Amino acid sequence: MSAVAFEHVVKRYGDRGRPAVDDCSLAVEEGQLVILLGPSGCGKTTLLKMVNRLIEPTAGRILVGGTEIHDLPATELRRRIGYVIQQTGLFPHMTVEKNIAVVPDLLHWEKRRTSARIDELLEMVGLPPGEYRKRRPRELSGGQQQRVGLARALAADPALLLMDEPFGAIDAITRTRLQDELLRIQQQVRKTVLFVTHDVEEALRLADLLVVMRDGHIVQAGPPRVIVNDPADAFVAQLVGADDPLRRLSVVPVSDLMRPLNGAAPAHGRTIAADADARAALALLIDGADGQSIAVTDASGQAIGILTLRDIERVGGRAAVPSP
Amino acid sequence: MTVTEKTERTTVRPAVSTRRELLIRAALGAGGMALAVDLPIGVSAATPAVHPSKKTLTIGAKDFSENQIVAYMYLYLLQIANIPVNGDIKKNLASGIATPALVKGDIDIFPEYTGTGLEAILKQKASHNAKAYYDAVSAGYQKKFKLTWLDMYPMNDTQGFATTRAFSEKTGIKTIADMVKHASEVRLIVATEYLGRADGLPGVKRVYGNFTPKEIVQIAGAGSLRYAALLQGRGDIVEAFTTDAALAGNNLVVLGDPKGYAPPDNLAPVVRDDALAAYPNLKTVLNKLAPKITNAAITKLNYQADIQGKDPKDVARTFLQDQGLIKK
Amino acid sequence: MDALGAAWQYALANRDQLIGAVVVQVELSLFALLTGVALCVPLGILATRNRLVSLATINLFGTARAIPSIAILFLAIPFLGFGFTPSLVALAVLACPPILVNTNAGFMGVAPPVVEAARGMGMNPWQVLLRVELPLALPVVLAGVRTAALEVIASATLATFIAGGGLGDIITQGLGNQRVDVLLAGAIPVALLALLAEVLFSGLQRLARLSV
Repeated sequence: MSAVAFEHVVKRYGDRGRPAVDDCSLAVEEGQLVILLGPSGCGKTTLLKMVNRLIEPTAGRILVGGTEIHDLPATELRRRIGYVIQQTGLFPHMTVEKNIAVVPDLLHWEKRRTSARIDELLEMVGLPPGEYRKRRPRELSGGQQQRVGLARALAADPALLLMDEPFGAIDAITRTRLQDELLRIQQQVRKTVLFVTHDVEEALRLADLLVVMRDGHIVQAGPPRVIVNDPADAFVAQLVGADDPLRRLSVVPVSDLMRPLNGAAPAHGRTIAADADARAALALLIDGADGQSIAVTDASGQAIGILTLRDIERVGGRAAVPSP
Repeated sequence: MTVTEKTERTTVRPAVSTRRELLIRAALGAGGMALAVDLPIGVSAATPAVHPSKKTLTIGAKDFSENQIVAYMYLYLLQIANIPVNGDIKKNLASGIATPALVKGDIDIFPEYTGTGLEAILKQKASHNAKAYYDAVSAGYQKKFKLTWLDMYPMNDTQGFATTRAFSEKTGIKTIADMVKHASEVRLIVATEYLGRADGLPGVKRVYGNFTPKEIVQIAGAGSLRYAALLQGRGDIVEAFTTDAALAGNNLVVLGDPKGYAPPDNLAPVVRDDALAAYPNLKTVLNKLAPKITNAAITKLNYQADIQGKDPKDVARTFLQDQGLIKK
Repeated sequence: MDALGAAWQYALANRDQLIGAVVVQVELSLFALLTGVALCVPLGILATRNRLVSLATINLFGTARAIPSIAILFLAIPFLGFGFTPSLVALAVLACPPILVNTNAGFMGVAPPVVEAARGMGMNPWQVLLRVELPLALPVVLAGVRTAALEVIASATLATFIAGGGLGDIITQGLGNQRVDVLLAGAIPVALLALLAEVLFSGLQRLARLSV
């Protein structure tokens, strides 16, 4: 059973032109971070908002955890789904802790349980509770507000998280940091996440499953590496930069390319994590004047392999792009 | 007890019709001068045979319909008697201005109330009966101003109380004494200032004894509102002036005043002595009117002017025609 | 200064009447204000949700505002007669426009992402209204109520024209009998009541703003 399933979902507004979402079907596995990527007007946000019924589908079915979304009241559905939006929508008249406590309160959690959860979440998003519990949203920076927004969405421990361009209004530096945070948190909690963005870099960086949309249709869905190396059509190719060799490197993890350690690690100790991408490795290799190999380490810092320029070259050319 | 100046009354008593009256008054005040210059129709415009040195008379009137209607009657009577008189009356004179104007000669005749003349102008008192007031005021005016009071009219426009015929019959209240006796059944409608005025409610209490009605309903503003409240059943008896226009219709009765708490206020023409000397028939002409102006008559005329909205000029003329004093 | 002294003397000598009038003035003002709030806060909220309601109410009360209060009082007479009730109705009509306009503005001023987040988190419409929109709109709504309060307290003096009682009775008594002391004895409490309302509401507004 999928965590989220879309079956021939359609959204039509009046008799205007084409539907906003036109017969989309998709199955999302538990714990997957799914990115909905596409240009504006492609229907990605509409699709997202139909999951928690902020927009009602015109036709088709949507199942969350096996339950059709219309089999229960909308408010109940939404209390089981985390929702993060671009402008955060934090309640200005409530403190950080009250904001986070909203859904637990709606679910009638015990005060003590809620309080403990608030501490836990603030730690998780990198905001020390002692300092941040009693703050007001207006006292926080954009990045801090969005962290609170994330904590608030996770408060009742929902199985599913919907995120609508959550980092769109954040500056580039903070955005990268927040993306890292999200990946880190995701490793910890393994939620099913539906994430909408039009930022290709962000999409390729975060996605377990990348869903490319255009004009209300799903054009291609798959892991980033597949989309980049094997784009379904010229539109996808152009969107993800399938032509760009550096782009193609960016979706290949180092662990796919490293060679095993034979003997000791190189003396110079330049390292890279095994889950880093080949583009980052290339940057590191080019930067060094002291040899052409770097050690690949696992999560604990142990060297588990070696990487050279040669290995990176093995990524090779791209697959042939189908003609338009 | 002082009489309430008639002009003061006008702020709370533009007789009865609310909006219409107020609108008419406003129109009159703001630009009504346009109305003031018509010649009365139907009266001969023959050149009076008079010595050139004799002056043309001017008639004055105060700023409310009752007074103006009577003044217009003087105008028509003088015209058919061929006494030279100005084509229109000088109306809207405040009470305090009318008498000095008469003394100065700006006007020669105007209708005044004995109570106002005695108490407000001469600042004297007399016993509360019509003759005593008349004698005192005519003597006083003659001595002080060389003005003559002609024959007094039966009409006495003074303070009183009015109620519906139905309430009067139901409770047997016909006089003010009855009202005081039946105080516990009476909801009394008064103007807000009536309570504090020496000759208002305190005056009634002084003459008739302590009087605590079941309820006192205070309504400020035009008397028309108080009559409306009476007719709507919000109260039983309303303080009123005895010739208020509203009394003519509506099945209302005026309560009798056996102990005479209210000062008499009979109307009569006041004339300059030199006018009387110049026109010997002036006295007879004006006195012809006297017996005709009763409370009942003048109340009806007030009704025509204030509630039906007719011009006082037309009201006066129709009345004179109906009484046979002028030709139709 | 003499006039004030005389007014004070009159007030002392007639304190029963005066206190009675103050009580009626307060009753009229308070109930009219409460009626205005009860009627026009919900209408103001509805007007933000529904175009038809918005058009109807804004136009209706906009027109009512143009009619002088005393005319509204007189217009009520054939339907409601004289006394406390028609005075109350006329004053409530007077209180409505500022409350309506401010409620509308206050609720429009709540940022849409905040409302979207509230709905998306699973609050039902009542919860969104009471826990999110109302607290955020409150300072603006209170400003409207404050304006209405002042208008009502001053205009309640007009009740004297339709037997509604209140301090207007004393004021017109002073005017009619040309007694400045009586006039002041009636007028000064009106000013004091208005001042009191001002202080009260600005305090409430400050509280409301602090919590946001």
